[in-house]
Amino acid sequence: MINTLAIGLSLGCVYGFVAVGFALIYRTTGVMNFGQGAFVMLGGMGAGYAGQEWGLPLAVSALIGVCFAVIGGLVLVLTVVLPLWKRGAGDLITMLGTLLFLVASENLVLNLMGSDPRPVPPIPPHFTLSAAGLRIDSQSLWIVAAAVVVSAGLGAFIAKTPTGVAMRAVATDQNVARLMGVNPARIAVVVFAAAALIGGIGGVLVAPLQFAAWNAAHLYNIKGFVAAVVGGVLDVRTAFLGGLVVGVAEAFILTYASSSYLDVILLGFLLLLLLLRPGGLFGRAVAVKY
Amino acid sequence: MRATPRLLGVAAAAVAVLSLVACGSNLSSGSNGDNRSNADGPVVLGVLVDQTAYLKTVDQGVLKGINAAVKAINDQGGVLGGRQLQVVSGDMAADPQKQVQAFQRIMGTDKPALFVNGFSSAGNAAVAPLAKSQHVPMVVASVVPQQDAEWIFSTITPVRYETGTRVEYLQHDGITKVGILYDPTPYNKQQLQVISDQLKAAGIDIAGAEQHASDAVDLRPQVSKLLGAGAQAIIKLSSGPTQIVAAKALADAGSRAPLLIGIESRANIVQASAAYPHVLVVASPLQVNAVLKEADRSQSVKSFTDTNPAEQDPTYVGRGWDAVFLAAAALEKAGSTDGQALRDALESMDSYAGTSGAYDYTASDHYGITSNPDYLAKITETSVDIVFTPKR
Repeated sequence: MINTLAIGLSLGCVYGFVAVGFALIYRTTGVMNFGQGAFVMLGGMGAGYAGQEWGLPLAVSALIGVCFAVIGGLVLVLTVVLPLWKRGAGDLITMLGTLLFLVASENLVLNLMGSDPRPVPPIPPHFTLSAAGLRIDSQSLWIVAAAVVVSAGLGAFIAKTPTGVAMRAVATDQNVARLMGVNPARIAVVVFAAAALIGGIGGVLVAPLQFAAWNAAHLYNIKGFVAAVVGGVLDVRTAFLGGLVVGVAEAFILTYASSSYLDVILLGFLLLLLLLRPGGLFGRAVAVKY
Repeated sequence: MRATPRLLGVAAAAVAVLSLVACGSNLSSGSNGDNRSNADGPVVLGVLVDQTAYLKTVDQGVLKGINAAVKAINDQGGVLGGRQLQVVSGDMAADPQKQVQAFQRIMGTDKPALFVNGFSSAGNAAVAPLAKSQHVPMVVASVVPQQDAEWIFSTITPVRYETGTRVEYLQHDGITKVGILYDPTPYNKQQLQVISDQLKAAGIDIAGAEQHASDAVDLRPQVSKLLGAGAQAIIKLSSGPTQIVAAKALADAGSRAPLLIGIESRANIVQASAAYPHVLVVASPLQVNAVLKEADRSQSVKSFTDTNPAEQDPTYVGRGWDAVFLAAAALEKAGSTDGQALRDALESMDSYAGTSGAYDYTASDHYGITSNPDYLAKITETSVDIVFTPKR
């Protein structure tokens, strides 16, 4: 059982990483960014492609992967989100725009980098901690450490700093924020770049445990979105915890229930939890922008 | 601001148009109208393969083999007394619904004599009723569907050989308990049924059979469960990049149990073997050609490798190659492009020695291969070793 828990936590950290990106953007701009999974994919595929095709060392290829993700974030915000905002598009249209970005980026990567999965080596020194039947890969420890630092740091940044307050003001009401001297467009660019950076780092860290592939974006997206909603999409820290809940639930369902009906059981279970706690397990009671 | 809804409407229309264009068929060398009835025009082969989704790797190989074989046949004078073969391909994007749409589109515009399709068992099953109702034979690189199979002919090794190779190896190696990983495609479900019976007959217990999504990115829970239930080896029925995921899951668990995977692309095999050194793969003759004794190399394999000397990943290329030569043989036997005549010709023509085995289709056997042509091999980036040869 403890092994299942460890696997679940490791899975959950991956989902949590994506969930943090969802929450960061939603919390600060009010946009539900369905392109978040693309950032993870771009990070992993960029690093894998640079390492495999160009023979670059891990540190450099990882940096390139993260840069790919950040560029993706900037493209999304500058060519999709801001133009839609400028034309007064509603939240639904903006959300659709981010989803189209995800589909387009998958297709672009497929055609530019190929359909083969790309290997990304683990961070050296690679080792496995083993005790009492429990095995933990060193890469999982990197993911946990990075996820905790990112979610805690971001949470504190948004809650305590003037820029964080400005971000929340934009999420609450762009017009009022503008009257208060906050530039929503600038905030959006910063936030999308930051979310893409987080996604890219996640992609580079996750790829050695799983693999980097062009079509992984939507998988990360679905689980990451569910994790963010389950944890509470208004707080990056609770969103990360939501990832852990989803990951652990998935591992336990696969181990002790059924692999054939995983999604039905998992989503049914999570739906039940949300019926009891509509604002997310760890979030506020009402899931609205503020 | 009044322009916004109009602009969005234009954008939506543009997206719709682009989607339709993206779903469109690709014409290799121009075609128009009914080529079945045009006795002097090219003979059109419809090709439904995945060009943009998770089966792209394998279907790209199939398409490559199709194009190479069409060129080889056309260079030798074509078929039916000099008519050229022409490929019209449609992207089915690993989606049965899109395969149906692509089938209808190509049938509507190009009226191909036959279809030569890719690896998606679900996609080929989806168009099987249409092939039957519209009297157009299909030579496919997947299993023959369980329903409406009268017009579908397969180039793959029959399921019983792909699974049986692994069961024979397990027996040979003294393994008594195995775990199975599979995805919910028709091919995998058929394999699961067949291998369960074979394992039972061989006296090998099944520790568990765990399902996963065809695009799963983590299989650690499933693998951990199977190993915990006492599996001494893992048989993976599903194909694609999940081979790498399963290999990583076994490595993560610190296991040394062999991971037995089926026919697979070289890219996935190499990455899986790099992640976990105990990966064994059911290999076609083309995949182990480099280490086969001269006496074990068939003439068709020699012809294929002479024509495609630089091919690094020949398995699926060979399937496409075989399918076109089978289609050409059927066209010659039938003496026309009539669907019914072609179907009858496929069932009654002489055995054709292809790269994946000798095909001898009959009314009751649309696989045609009646002797196991495969090997169990260990394949890495730099080496190929035959580990086990099953009974022929």
